[in-house]
Amino acid sequence: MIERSVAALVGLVLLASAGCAQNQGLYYWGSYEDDLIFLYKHPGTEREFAEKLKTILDESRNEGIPPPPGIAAEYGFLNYQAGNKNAAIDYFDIERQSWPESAELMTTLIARITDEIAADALSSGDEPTNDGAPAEGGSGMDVPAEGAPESAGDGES
Amino acid sequence: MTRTRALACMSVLTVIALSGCMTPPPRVDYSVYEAEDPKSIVIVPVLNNSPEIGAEEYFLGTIARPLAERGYYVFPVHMTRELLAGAGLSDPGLVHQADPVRIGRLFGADAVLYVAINHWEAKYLLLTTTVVVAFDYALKSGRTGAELWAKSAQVTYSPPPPNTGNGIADLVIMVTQAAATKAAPNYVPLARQSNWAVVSAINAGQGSVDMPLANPLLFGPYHPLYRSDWVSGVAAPNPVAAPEESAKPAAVARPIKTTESAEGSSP
Repeated sequence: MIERSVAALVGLVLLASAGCAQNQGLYYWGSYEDDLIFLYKHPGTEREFAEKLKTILDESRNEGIPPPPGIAAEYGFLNYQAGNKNAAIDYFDIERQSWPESAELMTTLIARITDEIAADALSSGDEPTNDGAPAEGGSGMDVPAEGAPESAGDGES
Repeated sequence: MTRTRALACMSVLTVIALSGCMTPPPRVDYSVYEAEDPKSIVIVPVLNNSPEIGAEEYFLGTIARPLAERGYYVFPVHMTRELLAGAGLSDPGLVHQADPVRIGRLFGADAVLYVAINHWEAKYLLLTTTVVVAFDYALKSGRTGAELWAKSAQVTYSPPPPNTGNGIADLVIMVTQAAATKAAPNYVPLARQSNWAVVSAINAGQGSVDMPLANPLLFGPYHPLYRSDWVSGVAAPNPVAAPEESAKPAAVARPIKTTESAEGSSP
């Protein structure tokens, strides 16, 4: 316990001696912020945004600096939106492996997409491609109607 | 135990002493925050109550990075917006009034971050354009709805003055810059700097931001300094919700916990 505190203190002094500058951080960001704002300012450019995210994932590997949390999931989601459902599952799984905090949501989404793939296969008569995703029921993402905000009469102050 | 706490206090003191950028206001009460010990944050769409259309996108686009670098798992911003829209919560006003527990459950998130822009004023003063922005940040528990941290701040932002070593050239650049800022404002540096100042108490930009750099988010679990800034030193055995706050719905109202405001110093 004390050792940990001392370690923290040492780390802190090191950090502080680096000054107020915040150039090197925990993750490799590439041009993430500008890319995201570009997407907002130019709706319909999801494909370009996806390519930028892929670049972050690739370059972070080359640089040896981990990619930020959420990037793999974001890339997976854009793949889903573009109809690449298997790729979406792959990247959601990467997110889940990398970040346990995402596991609940990723598992829900993977189950959903797995169901969709099975349904697509049924309607088109193809073989379902169920690549080892967990066979949990699609729960959770649908917000139950009971969850409506209980408006207990106080407004804003 | 006492020694651990002493060390923790010392760490905090060291931060304050070494950062030395500004005299910080007193530390606010982080006890509920420490007890909940959130590890993941979902950022809901920014609520823009100002007349500056699109300002919310600059803030939303530059908030994930300081949060992640603070040590938290941050849910992907674009995916979050789309999933919320799918749940009937595409309007920021609706999201901000929805129960944080509902949003927390939707994502499996420990905490929900709300950002609202309340005031935005650009002053064009020939040589420079100064933007005054007032905003509220609030972090609420995704498990109990309790408010863990909140900050109301006003930032006065001026683009950095040029320094070419040539007075006339500097003047020309400044006038051109001011005109350009008026015509096609680039608010990315302003939003980025505000987010870093509020989340991390770090001045991470070239513009001048007038606000006390203090009472940031606690370090998250992926940060090397995680828990070094805790007063309680050790995690509480079981998270306890603040009783009076967990009963409240997610109101736009802002319980004053960390209210800070820095007066905008206009030239």
